[in-house]
Amino acid sequence: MKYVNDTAPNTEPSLLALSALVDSELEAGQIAPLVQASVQSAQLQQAWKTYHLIGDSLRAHAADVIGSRGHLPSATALADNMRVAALSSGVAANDSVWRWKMLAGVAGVMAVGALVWNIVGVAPGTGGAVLAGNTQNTQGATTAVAVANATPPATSAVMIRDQRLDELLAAHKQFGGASALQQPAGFLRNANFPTSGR
Amino acid sequence: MNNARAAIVFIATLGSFFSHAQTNPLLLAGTGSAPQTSVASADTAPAIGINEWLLRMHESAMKRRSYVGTLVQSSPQAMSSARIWHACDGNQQMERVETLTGAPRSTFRHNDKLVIFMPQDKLVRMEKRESTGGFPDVLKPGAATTIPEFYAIKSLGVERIAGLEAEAVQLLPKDPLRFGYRIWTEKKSGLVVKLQTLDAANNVLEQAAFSELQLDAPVKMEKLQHMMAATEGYRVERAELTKTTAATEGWILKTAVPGFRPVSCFKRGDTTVNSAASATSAQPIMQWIFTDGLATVSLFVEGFDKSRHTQEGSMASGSTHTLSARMQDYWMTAVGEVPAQTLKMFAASLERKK
Repeated sequence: MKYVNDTAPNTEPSLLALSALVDSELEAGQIAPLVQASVQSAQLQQAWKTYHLIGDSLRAHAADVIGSRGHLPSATALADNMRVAALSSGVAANDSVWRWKMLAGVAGVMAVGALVWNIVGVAPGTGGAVLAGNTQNTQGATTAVAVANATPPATSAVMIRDQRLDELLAAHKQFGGASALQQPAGFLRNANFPTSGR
Repeated sequence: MNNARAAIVFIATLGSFFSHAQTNPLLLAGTGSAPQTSVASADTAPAIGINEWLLRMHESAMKRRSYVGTLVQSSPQAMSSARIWHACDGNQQMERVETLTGAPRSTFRHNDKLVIFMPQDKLVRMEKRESTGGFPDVLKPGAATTIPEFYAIKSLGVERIAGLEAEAVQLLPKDPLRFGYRIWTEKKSGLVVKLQTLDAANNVLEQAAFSELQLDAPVKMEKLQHMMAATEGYRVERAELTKTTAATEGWILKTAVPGFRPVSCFKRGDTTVNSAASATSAQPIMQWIFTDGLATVSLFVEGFDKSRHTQEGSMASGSTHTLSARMQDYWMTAVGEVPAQTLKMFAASLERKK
């Protein structure tokens, strides 16, 4: 389905866009402004979490419902599921499936898409220049030491992943299969790894 | 406006209202604090050692039956899901993975062959994995394994995942150079149904789990093979891999990073086949692979290109860290599911020798 930014008032267009993003139906050009809006909106972040919860709920129940009744669960049934789950917090906190759903949801809040990396070492345009400067004046080994001693900034930034990094990441995931976890849990670690644009 | 989407938005708004009423405990769980698992005998050590447990998991995987499932992977920076089809006849293994999030992508794996379809770009990537000398070789009798030196194992009891009974264990790192893991394996098949990567404070950095799983599903290997071979209309890109050694390429690691040993080294250069008559090759890059048995680190080294290599520094996405730095006329990128300081140690030790 193609997302159409229609006449819905206030934040509804963003909510619709967010829903489209969850369903992988949002056009590329609409993602960046939505991500920007989501960073500043607690409502959108909450909605992001909730949409994934709905997705999980649909996945969890679709097979049973289709099998028994031949159609998807009604909106009312979904709302009931969510209400029951939300109100029974004492029980839900110990329920593994519910906990997983929430974990996934909250992770989604932080993400708003699979496009960002945290810069944890050197801020762009500052530390990078410093390191490059070190490199020009010293030998390779010294450069590496400079990297090792780089002081992380107090706050981390985010950046959009670039394609080259994606390629290296894919190569690492696919050919770095030396781990004991790689073979039996292979796709859990790598086959599903999202890449931007590829 | 699409009615179905409007309904979902409405329901979500309702759900949002209710979930606000109990935000704290769930958010605490969601932000990666050690979960309050409903597990039994959390501090009891399993009857077998870590090597035996890993080997058993691997053997179970080899004998695994067919299954279909939906996998959800999440980290603080990203969330994605995929549909998995897996067929196994004892000798051959075949997998199909369809991404449900982000750009459409179909990945097929038949034993060591990997074919990735990218429909948006009308591109197919073909790769052939080669034994890296890693797992399970590292666990075979007589092989030197250092896994027990750097990880301990702890049983977490039994938990239900995707409606199935699963045994959970935690692999605890013994030093800060590696992450820990919680692994859930389905009791009968040994299939890994959930995997968490943990930092030193037991926070979940990344996790993948089946939200739905159908064991012994009727997955036909022939059908998957047919789909894997259907590359007509696609541009084909082949990963050209040449086995080499770091010494041959002129690189050494002055000081070994504790627990990590080199397992293989490749020279990569991708060739894109646009037609039978034309092909283009990318600039080669060295990939030097290290493992401690559980975590893997790749050191990529290529010629420095000032137009592309503009940003040095570290980045993190889930448990995966990267570190990029210029080294004279070269550009080094370290990638691994390890803490940033481990990559820094690798970078500090990497040295050009010729």
